[in-house]
Amino acid sequence: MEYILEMKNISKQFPGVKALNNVNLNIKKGEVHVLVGENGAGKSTLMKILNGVYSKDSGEIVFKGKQIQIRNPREAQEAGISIIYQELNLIPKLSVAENIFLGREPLKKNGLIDWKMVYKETEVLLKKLEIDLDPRTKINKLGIAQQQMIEIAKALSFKSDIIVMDEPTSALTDKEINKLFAVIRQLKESGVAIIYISHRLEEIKQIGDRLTVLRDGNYIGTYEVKDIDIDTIIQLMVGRKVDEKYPKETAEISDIVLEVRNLNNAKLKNISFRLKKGEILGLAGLMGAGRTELARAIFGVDPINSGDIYINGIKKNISSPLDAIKNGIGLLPEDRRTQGLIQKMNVLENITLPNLNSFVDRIFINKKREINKSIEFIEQVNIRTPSPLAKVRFLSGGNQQKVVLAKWLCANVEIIIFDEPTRGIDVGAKVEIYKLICNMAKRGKAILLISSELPEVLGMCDRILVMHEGEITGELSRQEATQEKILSYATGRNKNVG
Amino acid sequence: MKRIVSIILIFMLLLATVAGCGSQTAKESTQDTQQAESQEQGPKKPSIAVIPKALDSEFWLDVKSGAEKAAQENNVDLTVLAPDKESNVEQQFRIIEDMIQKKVDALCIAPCDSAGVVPFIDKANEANIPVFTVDTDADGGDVVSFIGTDNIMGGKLAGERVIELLNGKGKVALIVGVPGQQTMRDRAAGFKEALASAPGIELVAEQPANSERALAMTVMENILQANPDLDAVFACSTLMAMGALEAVEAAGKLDQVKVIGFDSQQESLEAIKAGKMDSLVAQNSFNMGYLGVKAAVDYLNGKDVPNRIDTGTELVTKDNVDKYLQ
Amino acid sequence: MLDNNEPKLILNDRRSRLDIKGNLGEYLQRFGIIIALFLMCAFLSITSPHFLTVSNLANVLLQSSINAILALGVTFVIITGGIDLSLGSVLALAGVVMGVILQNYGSIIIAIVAALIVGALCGYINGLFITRLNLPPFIATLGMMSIARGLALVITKGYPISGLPEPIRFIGAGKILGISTPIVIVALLFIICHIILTQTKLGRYNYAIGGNEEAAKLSGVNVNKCKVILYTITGLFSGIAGIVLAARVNSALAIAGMGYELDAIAAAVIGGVSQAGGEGSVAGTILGAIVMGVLRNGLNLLDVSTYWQQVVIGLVLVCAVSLDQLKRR
Repeated sequence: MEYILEMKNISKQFPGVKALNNVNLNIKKGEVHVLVGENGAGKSTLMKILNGVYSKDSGEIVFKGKQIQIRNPREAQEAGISIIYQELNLIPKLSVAENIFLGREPLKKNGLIDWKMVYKETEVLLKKLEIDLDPRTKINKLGIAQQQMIEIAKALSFKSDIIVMDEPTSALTDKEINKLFAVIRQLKESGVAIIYISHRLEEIKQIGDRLTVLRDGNYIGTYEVKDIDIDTIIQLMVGRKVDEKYPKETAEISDIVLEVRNLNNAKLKNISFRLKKGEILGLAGLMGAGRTELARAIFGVDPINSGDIYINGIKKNISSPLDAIKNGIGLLPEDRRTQGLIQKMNVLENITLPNLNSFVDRIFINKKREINKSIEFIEQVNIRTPSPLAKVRFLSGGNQQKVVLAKWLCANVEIIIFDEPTRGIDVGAKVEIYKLICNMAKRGKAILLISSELPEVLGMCDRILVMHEGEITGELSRQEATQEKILSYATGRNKNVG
Repeated sequence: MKRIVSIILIFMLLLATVAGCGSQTAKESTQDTQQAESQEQGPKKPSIAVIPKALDSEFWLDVKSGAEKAAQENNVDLTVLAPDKESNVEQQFRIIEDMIQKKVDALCIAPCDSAGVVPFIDKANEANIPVFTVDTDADGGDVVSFIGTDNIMGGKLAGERVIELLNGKGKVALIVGVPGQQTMRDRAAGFKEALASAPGIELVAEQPANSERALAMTVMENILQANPDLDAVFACSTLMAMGALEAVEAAGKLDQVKVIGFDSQQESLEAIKAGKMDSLVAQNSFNMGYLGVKAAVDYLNGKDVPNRIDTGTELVTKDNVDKYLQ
Repeated sequence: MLDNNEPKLILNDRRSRLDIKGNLGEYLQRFGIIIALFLMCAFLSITSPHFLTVSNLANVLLQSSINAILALGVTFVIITGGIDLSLGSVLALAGVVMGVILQNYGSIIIAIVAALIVGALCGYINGLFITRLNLPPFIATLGMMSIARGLALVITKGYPISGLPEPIRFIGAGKILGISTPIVIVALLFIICHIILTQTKLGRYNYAIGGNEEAAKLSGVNVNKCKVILYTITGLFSGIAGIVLAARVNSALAIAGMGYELDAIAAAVIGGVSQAGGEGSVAGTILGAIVMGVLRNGLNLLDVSTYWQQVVIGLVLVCAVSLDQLKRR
């Protein structure tokens, strides 16, 4: 029995989309098997079939030598297949321990839950992962990075034969990643197979044994990691060569369009900065530094205690997103799935939503104009969708992000705030998003780019602001910026405010 | 898979329910067809629908069993359908409409709303279906006959009881319902008619209490203040009788003042059994169903039917209260 | 593959088929309920000779009309992801207000307008409860359910107001070109609702709020304002239903319409309006109301007692929703 898991000729059709077409995946015991492909290539769908979230249309799954049917995630877990999703699956109001043992709480003889045991076991698990946390802490008190580690702890607690990790490192710091890799090696030695999905191709070389490439729902091939280089992998993934990771183009930077003066609220301290037409201003910092909060304050979502916002030199009172949009500000939120898009609506409806007024004749929406306009934007940002009337939930992450972007282009805003625009988006689509951002700048939009990926900030921005604990601790020009300098400001070791 | 199975199960349950409920009818309709085949000999079995105000109390269940008995005796295809509660006026009217669609031969209706039912009686009239009202009459429409309690007779019964109790001499009070309500007026009139035959009895007070229990209690307290030597009181409804009884009991005059009510209700029956209340006039709901269907059958057979049929009243005293207390 | 021509080609090709595609999806969504309705009608036609007649079908539509009006109204708030439990009580209050004005002042126009205003006002207050006081819709409308019923009883002291004037009766029992007035009213309201939901900003925002309130807010939708308007519309529809019901039974009762809210919600849900919000159509709602009307009528014709009817309707509701869930998988 060479393989612990064989997925053979798996196919799956969604309305209007062939998500998987005769895909194969073979996993050996104790290996780290990397699954790569652009978003929309079918990785998530394949994993959801393995986990019983979706039912497959055809093909078979052989696990430990036996053909099995997985009908729901519970069955998958019980069989020994755990998945850690990119989108966290924890219940915010329950504690760490409650989340880890949810649905399988150990019972005392009298049938009540043995909480002592729950907390003790959790403590052991956390210690193993070197997480310094009280098992009684509520999940909503934790940052994303910590939550992700809890997810990993939860999967470990299942003593699974296979653990699928979908982008486990996307929200982790280097230190946490090293810790994770150590744990993965430890698991490997004990015979657990890992299916590892990541867009960080450097990680493949670090941790992977073999890899399988998918493209557009098709199986491209399985390779030994040591026999293949990253460029080849990218080529296999996108089906072409990617020349440049950060296609930065300089735009003409002119007048100040946005000026923030001494902005204060519960999470922000005395924020002041200026943003010019054509400029891409980076906003760097560690998780929880207040970057998203700043974006939300400017966009009128969170209240401001004091401070002023000037648009084109005029003081504006922005107390709701509606005010912000009226003043030409658009926001691509951090979590596009739950904040950026309405998944139950189609592409067209999402695109025209902030600017619906312009499609209304008297009281009725002019659908024809809506369709024409949305097609224009779909083409402009190159959204791959079968139709403007396709529901956005059937699109890949990269294409969903493009829908959010198209939405703001349609609203004709002058200032666009991107909050982690490429999180969870694959290489090919990333470059496309970067190109679009540069394009926007060239067309005279002012751009505020929030990102946790330093190379992205360094590669894309004309100027970089660094935040630490709700304050701007440093400002760097494109020329002077380096990873080290940003980090020293981001950790609060240095301060340089002009 | 599990889900599909459970959905199929629910579907089967649903089908079984409908089939189960319908099977009775199915049988009847096969009988119908058989009868239709052998129709040369006799007339077709008449179909009559009885539509009470609800089927949620003993009163209406008695109406139903009365109707069933009459249907059995007269070979009638009987349907008894009612809204789930008396307040669901529109549901009752929908049932009337459906029965008109079903082309029943006659309708016996206890209208939930006397005024509201009129247009639906008109609809039945248009479809040439004779309408009978039971228990409560309608405010209009072409009704063949009203089968219900003769409230004047009921009031008389109460009056005769008073005369008997007081040996033809004493002071009596009367508590009436909403002024202008026909049934209440009739009960009071019957009561006074009976008293007229006993010159020794004096009606010292006649007060309305709007069929409300609390108001009846206040009214009775005032009457007792004005007439400390009162011998008996007749309240035209059960609730008012209970209110009056409370006032009498609070005044410590249970032995002196006899309380007589109208309509039976568990609480008042128990009060009779306990010796607190003297008696009440009970309506005969079984007869309403029985005589209602019978009147419809007679009418369909071409016989003359009076436009008013009394279903009878009975005086419930301590002697016969056990029959009512089940 | 990233050649710029290809996606354009796909789009151009699709452009011509857009409308058909969109509608096809919607038709598919309604397919289940249409089949169910068809099967029910077939079953009833076989078991009762009285079911499949023109006059009975007209009768079913007439009988479904009150429920249909309430269900159309509540569709708006269910699409926002909310619920309105006060429909039946608001219906009674509106009817009673109309009755009292007719009784005391006799002005038909004022009576009708007052009933509509009372209905809309109740809905408006529901909206304020939900948006300003931040109450969950369930609680806010549960409160209104009790408030409106109480007020109706206070106004009438519990007595029915019977014998309405002829023009009012026409609303409930008259005919326009041979069609019962309530059916005409439902048809008009259906068209208006359909247009609101599919052709106007408010309708689009309605779906957006139900689909994802946070994202809608971040897209500049004034969520609170929309919700208040939508709850007001629902209240207004309850007012309309109150007028039609009072006209139909020729009396305004404070106890009218008890439990009607549940029938209306059931009709919408059977018609495919997702109780999670963001999905549904008024066409589905109307079909749902008709399904319930056909069931009640058919079961009456089969002499099934009203108590069993409740059991059957409950089962149908569960079936409809579980089929809907299955379809989504």
